[in-house]
Amino acid sequence: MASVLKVNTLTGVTTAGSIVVTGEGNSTTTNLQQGLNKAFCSYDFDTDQVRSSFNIGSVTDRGTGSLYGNFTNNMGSATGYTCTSGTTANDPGSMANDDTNRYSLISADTAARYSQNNVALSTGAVINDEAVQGIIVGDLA
Amino acid sequence: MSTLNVDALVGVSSANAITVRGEGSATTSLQQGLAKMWIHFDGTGSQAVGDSFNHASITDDAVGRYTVVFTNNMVNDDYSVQYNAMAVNTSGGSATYIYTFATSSCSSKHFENGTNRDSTENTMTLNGDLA
Repeated sequence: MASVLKVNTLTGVTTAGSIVVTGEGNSTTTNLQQGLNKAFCSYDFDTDQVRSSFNIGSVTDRGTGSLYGNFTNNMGSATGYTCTSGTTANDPGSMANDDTNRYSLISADTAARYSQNNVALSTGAVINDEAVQGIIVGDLA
Repeated sequence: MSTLNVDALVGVSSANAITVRGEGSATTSLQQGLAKMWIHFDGTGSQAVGDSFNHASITDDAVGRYTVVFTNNMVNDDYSVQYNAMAVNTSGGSATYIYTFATSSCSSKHFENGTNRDSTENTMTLNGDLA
């Protein structure tokens, strides 16, 4: 029978912000806090609305295809986290007539926010799309 | 060092909400911080999956286009996916992205120099809310 722990908060004993978890192979361990994504955001530039997010207090629309993702709980430092990005072609589902390539540049800006630019490969110009996405991993403040 | 042996974690006040003390003084959410699906697959041939989590199947929609079906669905289609594919060509631009978001699947495209391409190395990570 599986054991189920019912708990509201997990805090390390030796170090409050460090809990070890046995990995899938049953031999090595990993760190719970370090393995958690600390923020994510999917932003719709067409409607200027957040589609979904975690630990994002607000998004600053910096103009066409460019944003700041402002954290609710800040990261420890501007150099203490990493960002990965994703984007859509234009409107999700527009496969038949929209093969214009995109790429999305994302980077740590400060401990309080990341910056992201969504770019059309064909022109090199920033462009609005419906689901510009970012994930943040690293150390919280 | 204290060790807790347990198979499952469930929130008390809310079954789906467990708070975790972060590296500093702030706290974060266990459920929100977990990736809900990831997959590493070969887009050529029969779409061999190297490893995955919460992935049920993958279909070859066309050259450079795939649909990944989830085992456990998401609550809506507003989730976030990071998708990368290794370029086949050594020069020219490439682009990868998700073009269809659904609660039970997501569909991707990979282009190089404006042409759909099958890549041998494709990775996706999905974050969002499970159903």
